Amino acid sequence: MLDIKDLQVEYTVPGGVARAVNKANLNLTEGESLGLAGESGCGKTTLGNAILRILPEGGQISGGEINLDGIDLVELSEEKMRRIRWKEISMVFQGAMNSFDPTMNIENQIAEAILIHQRDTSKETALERARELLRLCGINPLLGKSYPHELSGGMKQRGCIAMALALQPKLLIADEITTALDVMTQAQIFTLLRDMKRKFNLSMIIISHDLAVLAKNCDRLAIMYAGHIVEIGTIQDIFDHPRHPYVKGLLFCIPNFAGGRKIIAAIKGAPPSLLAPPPGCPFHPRCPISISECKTAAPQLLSVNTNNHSVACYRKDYKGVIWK
Amino acid sequence: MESSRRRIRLQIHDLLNLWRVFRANPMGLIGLAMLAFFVAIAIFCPVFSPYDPRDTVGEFLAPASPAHILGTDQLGRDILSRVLYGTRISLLVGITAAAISVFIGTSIGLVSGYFGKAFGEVLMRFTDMFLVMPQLALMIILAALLGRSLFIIMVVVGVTSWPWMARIIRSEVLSLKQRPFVERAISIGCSDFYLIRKHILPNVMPLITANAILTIPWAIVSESTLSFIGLGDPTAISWGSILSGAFSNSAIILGLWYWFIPAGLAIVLLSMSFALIGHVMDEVLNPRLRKRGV
Amino acid sequence: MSMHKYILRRLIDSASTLFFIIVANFFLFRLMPGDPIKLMIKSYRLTQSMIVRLNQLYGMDKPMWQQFFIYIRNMLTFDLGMSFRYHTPAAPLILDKVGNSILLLLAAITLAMSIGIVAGLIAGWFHGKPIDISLVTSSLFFYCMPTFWIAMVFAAAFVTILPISGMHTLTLYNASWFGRLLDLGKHLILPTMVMTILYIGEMLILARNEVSNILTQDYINTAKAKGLSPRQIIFRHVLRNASLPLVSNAGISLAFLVGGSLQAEIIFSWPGVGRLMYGAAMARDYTVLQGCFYILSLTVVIANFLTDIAYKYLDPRVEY
Repeated sequence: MLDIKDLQVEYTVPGGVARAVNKANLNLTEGESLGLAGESGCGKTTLGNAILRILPEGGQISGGEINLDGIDLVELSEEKMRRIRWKEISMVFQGAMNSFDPTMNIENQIAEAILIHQRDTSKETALERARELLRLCGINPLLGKSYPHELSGGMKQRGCIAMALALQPKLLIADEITTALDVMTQAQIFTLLRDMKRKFNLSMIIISHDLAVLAKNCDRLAIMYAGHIVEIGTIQDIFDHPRHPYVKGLLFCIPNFAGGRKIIAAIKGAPPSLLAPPPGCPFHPRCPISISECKTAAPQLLSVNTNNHSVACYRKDYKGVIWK
Repeated sequence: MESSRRRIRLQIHDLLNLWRVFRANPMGLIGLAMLAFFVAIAIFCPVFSPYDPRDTVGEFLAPASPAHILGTDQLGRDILSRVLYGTRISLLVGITAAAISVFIGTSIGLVSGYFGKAFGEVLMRFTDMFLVMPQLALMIILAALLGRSLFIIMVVVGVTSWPWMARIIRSEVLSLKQRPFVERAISIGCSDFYLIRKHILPNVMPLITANAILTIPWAIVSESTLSFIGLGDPTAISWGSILSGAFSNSAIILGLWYWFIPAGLAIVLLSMSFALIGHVMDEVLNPRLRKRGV
Repeated sequence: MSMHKYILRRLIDSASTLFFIIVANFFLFRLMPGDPIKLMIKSYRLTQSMIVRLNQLYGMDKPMWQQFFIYIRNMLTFDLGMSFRYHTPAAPLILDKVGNSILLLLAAITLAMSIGIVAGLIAGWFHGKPIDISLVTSSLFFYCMPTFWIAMVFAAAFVTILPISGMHTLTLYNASWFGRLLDLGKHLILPTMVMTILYIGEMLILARNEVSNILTQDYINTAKAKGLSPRQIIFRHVLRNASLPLVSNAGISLAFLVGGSLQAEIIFSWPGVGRLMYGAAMARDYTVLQGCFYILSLTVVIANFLTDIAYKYLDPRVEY
């Protein structure tokens, strides 16, 4: 359904040009839920924004394709893209606090999405549908007349989900949707999301830095580092058989409640500057098992089994202990 | 001893930084250049002006000519000389009145913001009341009641424009009070005076400075307005009074542009020089305020 | 906070502010060096009946606190005393002219807000680019112009094209109502233009700053993701949010604007409260001065109240 090939996104900043996404390759089948993980600044939000083509000022897609059911979104005119936005692909953002216009009530803003794309719908019908969506998402439809500041964070986020589902899109992108919420609300929101996914047969891309959340809610997982996708595969494959040194390090950081005592390793160093990235693999300065090839050319994403598990690393077959 | 020397060095370093950022903005530099120009005129006007501004030196209402570049007014006085000398009054009254207004406004703003609840609320009401009164109307009444002298003008302008400053300072102090470092200081047991002096005042100072400069254009314009209306010091040479003469002698209808354009333009340009500087200072100082506060 | 509760709170607020003003007005005139009321009585030749009336009105021979209560009563019933200059009651003199001043103020505010918001929108959208810088600089330029001077320049420039004096052309006395309306419009143009220029700078800078701020907000990003075109985003989301500070500022600036209208009225001989006040100041007609001041302050209080209500309607977030 969604096929991203060699996507490149750059930001023009006062210091130069920063490559936020570097030759990203992803695909998504219908009804599948893909997690996109990585630390802050790795490019996952940029990737999400690029799919919808809502990059902020200074950002542009400098290469690659984003194929949605055969149509390349990168090549589309802005006007055509606007018709695709929300109708085929919609998004739920992190700042639920501010995703709604403070001077309009909730149901009007949801109805707005409907009215923009389906011109011949009457206002009343659109409002009815909006209220129905709120009900589906666990909000009392009568609260539709409330203003954003009158709702709690969790309710606002539910409202955002309701709004995202207004046009029954094929793909829903959830960008760090629960980062600002407490753990209980987080669980509720994701339960809601799973229900909606089943009900509407949605494909989803869930962007988060929280591996636990992704493990619970995704079928497949892609890990990004400094703009590169370094490993991608099923949840089982990634958690049980990680191949990339960085991913192994990440998983090693998770304390084990059930098992015995484990020494938690730290990955020394910091992510590279995107303005002047090191040549070759972006992770090699911090990688304990890097070899000379790692410094010259960035490794390609190569398949390691039949289950669509791919890794971008020259040392993907290394079996020893990397992190102590 | 050592710490105070360090503090002074730090402050000079801060000022130099400030200057560097200020210098980068062309608007501020233009303002500074304009101001320097006017100050030079104010100081050296006896040298520059062709005639004594108070003497009758030519025909009444003579048009612009090489002898009198801006013509003469209804009493035969050279207009150019009068315009040049007017710089002194505008600068003097403008800065003094602004100073009075800033002093009153800051004090009331500080106090009403810091001592919240009852006392602060009452002060706020008092300030709001002043804000509702049309300033020009109040100035006219006060000037009419108190008489006509330069000093009175300064006081009148100063006393009617403080609410603006008070409001700004008050809201800043209120927000500062909420900041963690203030709460911590209070929990340690600092006295009110110490808090104000050490924590609140330094953080409010940039705001005060930028806004103080922005008060000056208002003071200059107010003084010229009062002089125009006829409530200024009759012996002082003010741009407003030049314009008043122009108005009452039908300069508008007769199109005697040389009489009323230069004087008015001078008011605008002098005010603008302060406004540009103040505007840039505002942009320069504000982000620092946020950084330093935490 | 519900609208009703808000209106009630603001009503109480306005009433208390008004009370403060009345009190201040009282003391202003009584405590000045050389009580002006008494001075007036001495300097103007007043007939016996006038002195009696004055005593009635001001209670000149009664103790201060009694004078105060008489004064409050007078203010509330709009009994504003006698004009010393004209020897007629001051109230009708002033109230007659209020409508004219309000007409001018309304025209100017409407024009300034509309142009200000559009220009501010452009400046904010293109933040930092040349058009923004030139718009901001022009605003500062206009802000520093004394109103009376702008008025003089405009009057001189348009003296042959538009009327520069008064509100009506006397010779059109028996013309049709449409003709007279048109004539009023012609007379209104210059004073309104002058006052608009006075106020537009402030509106522009406010709008521009607010627009710059709004464009960085998340809900604008959401709107873009929803598929709204830039035009739709501006009209549905930016404008409404951007006009908020302008509306709240309009209320606060009204006092400042009244000062501007005063000057415009003087230059253009517009028969409003401002021009009346000017004449009264020159003639030291203190009763009329005091009355004008009261009426003007009252107008500002009422206007503030109305703008606060309008603001609450636009921005549901606001609490008392």
